[in-house]
Amino acid sequence: MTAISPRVASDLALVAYDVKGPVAKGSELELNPETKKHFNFDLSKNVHKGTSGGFFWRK
Amino acid sequence: MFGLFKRYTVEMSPEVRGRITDGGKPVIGMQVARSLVYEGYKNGEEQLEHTMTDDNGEFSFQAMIIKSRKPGDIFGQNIPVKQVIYVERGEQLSRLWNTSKVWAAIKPLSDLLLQLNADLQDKQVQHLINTSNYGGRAQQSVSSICHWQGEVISTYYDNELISSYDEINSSQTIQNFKLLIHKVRKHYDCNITTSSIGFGFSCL
Repeated sequence: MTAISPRVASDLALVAYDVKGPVAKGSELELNPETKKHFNFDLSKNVHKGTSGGFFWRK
Repeated sequence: MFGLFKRYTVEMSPEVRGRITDGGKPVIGMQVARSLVYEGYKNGEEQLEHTMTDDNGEFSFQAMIIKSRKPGDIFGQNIPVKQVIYVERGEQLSRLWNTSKVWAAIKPLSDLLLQLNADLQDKQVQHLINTSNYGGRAQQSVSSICHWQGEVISTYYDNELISSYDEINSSQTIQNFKLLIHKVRKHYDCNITTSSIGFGFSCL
């Protein structure tokens, strides 16, 4: 299992607050570019699941 | 303990001023939306306002400051204020501002919200702003079509750090070039190879 950097870990912890509750029109998740390289977030239908290349969920 | 009952001054949004252009020309009478969401205000209900651009493409929103007990809550101190300012033209939505910030006022962010000068032709980029000297995060992320520059701002496009906005424009040129190659290849049934230093051409 590949370890994630502390920066990505803290970014993921912080983003949990952003997806609490409904997502307003036009709103996007503000993730660190490093996090975005490794995770995709799908906010459609208010489903919040991060998809990584090989850590939490595989594509 | 008494912090639980204290009401804090929460900045939903400072004053906002900006100007919208399209290819350098002011966009007149365009609707601009400001969406603010904070869990400590009206149970997180979206506060949505609209304004219109004037004859010079300029628009503004008043500051929105509220009182809330949420920042004193042990589970509420990290609850962010979500701010989005956008315009829509047909199907296309352009973000002038998209961020999630702490409940307190952060000066560099307030300063940028007074200069939301955007051209609709410009691409959305991601700015990482160092606000650690002002009580904010070391990498406060703001996505916008506004192309700011500054000492505390690092700008990313497609998750890559850019040093100049010319890089984005040149990448567009390369994309257009690749599209042209694809069309030529399809039309003439030819094989064209490209590289960063040139391209080769051979018909089948």
